[in-house]
Amino acid sequence: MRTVARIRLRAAAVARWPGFWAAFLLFLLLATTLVALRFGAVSIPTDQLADALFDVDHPMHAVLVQVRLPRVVAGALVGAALAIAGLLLQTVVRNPLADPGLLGINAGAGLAALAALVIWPDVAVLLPLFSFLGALGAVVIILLAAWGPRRRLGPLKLILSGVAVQSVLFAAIALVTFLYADRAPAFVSFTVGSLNGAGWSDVRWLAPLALVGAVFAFSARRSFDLLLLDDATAAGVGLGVQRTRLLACGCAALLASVAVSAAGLVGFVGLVVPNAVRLATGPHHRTLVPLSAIGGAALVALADLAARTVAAPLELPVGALLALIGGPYFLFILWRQLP
Amino acid sequence: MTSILRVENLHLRHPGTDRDVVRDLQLEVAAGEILCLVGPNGSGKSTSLAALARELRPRHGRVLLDGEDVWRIPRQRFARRVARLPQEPQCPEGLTVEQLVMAGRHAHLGLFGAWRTSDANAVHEALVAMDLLELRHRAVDTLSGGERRRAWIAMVLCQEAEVLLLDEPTAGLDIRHEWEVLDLLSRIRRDRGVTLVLVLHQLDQAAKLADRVAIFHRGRLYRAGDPSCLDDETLRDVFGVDASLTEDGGFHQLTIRAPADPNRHL
Repeated sequence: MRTVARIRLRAAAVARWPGFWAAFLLFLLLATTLVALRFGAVSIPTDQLADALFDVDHPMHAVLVQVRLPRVVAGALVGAALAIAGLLLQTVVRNPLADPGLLGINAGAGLAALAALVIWPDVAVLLPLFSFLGALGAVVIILLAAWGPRRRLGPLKLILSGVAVQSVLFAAIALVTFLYADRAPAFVSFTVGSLNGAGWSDVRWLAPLALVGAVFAFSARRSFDLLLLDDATAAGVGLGVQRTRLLACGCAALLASVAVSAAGLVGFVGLVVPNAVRLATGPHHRTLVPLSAIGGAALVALADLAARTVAAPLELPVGALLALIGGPYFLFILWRQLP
Repeated sequence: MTSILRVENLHLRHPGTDRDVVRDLQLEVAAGEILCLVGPNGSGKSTSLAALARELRPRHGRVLLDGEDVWRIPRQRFARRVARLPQEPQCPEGLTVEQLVMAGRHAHLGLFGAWRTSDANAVHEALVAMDLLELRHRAVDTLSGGERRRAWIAMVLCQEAEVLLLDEPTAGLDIRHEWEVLDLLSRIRRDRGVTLVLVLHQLDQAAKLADRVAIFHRGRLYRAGDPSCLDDETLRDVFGVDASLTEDGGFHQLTIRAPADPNRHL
């Protein structure tokens, strides 16, 4: 009995160690990548995978390097960006229920991107910029609505105003896709999110922007830790509370908009991943930021692999699969947290 | 004694409201003293403390730290000189005592938040001073009320400020822990020579701990002076009770005979 108890204690200690989770999630990401490279319209036998990847003359080389690999990388980047965005929003509102999708920030980015597509169909370069401005606009509206004359950011108010903003933006997205059906992408595939057709051209701008957001989030980790204390205490130890909050919101808007311009409205990653990591390793941004990034990357890569393969040759929208996991998880948090 | 904090003509109002909760406040805090702000609920004590802590911008008047308007002092420099503990501080689930205490070093950290030996030493000293060394890896939310209060005070101590502003540091504690915290505070003053300004509800505690008390009544300073100014007349006028505060061997005892006038509005 004693040995069992000791093993349990040791296991609990290992489970709280961030290195364990980093190794586990990295392994998951790597394994997902390999499996995603192997399976597709034409599957490659495992023993030929290395050849196909590194030998330029292999018949499957082009498919692997030009189609499957960039799609996995794009998926991983989208996941990492969304997870960090969700984490920062949860920190800002001190509430685990925040998520760029739920608060309408993804929808803001999406609407602006759609508008840009409709007005200037040829200038695809502007897409990320517009979606960033859209996301930022959504953040500003939500914060202003939740701020109110009493200048207090209540989490409940914030989430409710986010839901209101999101429904307005969704209606606008539906209108735009309906009125400009010839130019805008199909409403359904855009609103549930999909990585179909993601290539190196997407990764080229996705990667640096996501990296900028992630590096910023990590470098401000101590300030974000202080945001988790109450405002008076955080200000008391010398933190510019409102400034830090605005920076965190800006960074979350950047990351969410980057993800939306690449994959449409992928929801719930920002909700599920940071919460799961927090449960495992505690409330520190030193571990939360990197582990959320790796976890988000692994989750979206895995979900996209499933979306491509479970009903092949039919391709499911990855966002729908993620919502199938995220929705129940959201209910679980509500059930656990609210009195 | 030289004054370290000086309040001139202060009028305070909470944002989004249209009524001044503190009016025309003049107050001086001498370096190294313990000043207790006392008064009934809603008399403006905590609001005044928030203004001293540079948290609530005055509608009129100013707060001076060594002659300099606190709103002109950069936030971090101010935090290195004045530390503040709110009434009900909150901390996230799972945060350990040591990590909480480390938060107090924020204003001292170098470029990009670099952690130095002096920071580690300050954390260690604060943990030792509050007798928390053994509890340092425990999560704050698993501690008892008294231990938690000690952890918060350790965080404020770690800030190494010359002025500590504490809002009801004994609220919600049982009698033993109340006195333990008060004892710690007077020891901190003795060992570190800091200035303490605290809001306290228990008049006997205030009288025992304070060098001076500032009595608030309806948003104004009713009287300030040594604890003996908490006399029967003041207790009747300010608190609306027929009571006396007596001293016996260094301890103070509050004897309440009856409400002075049950119909009187405070």
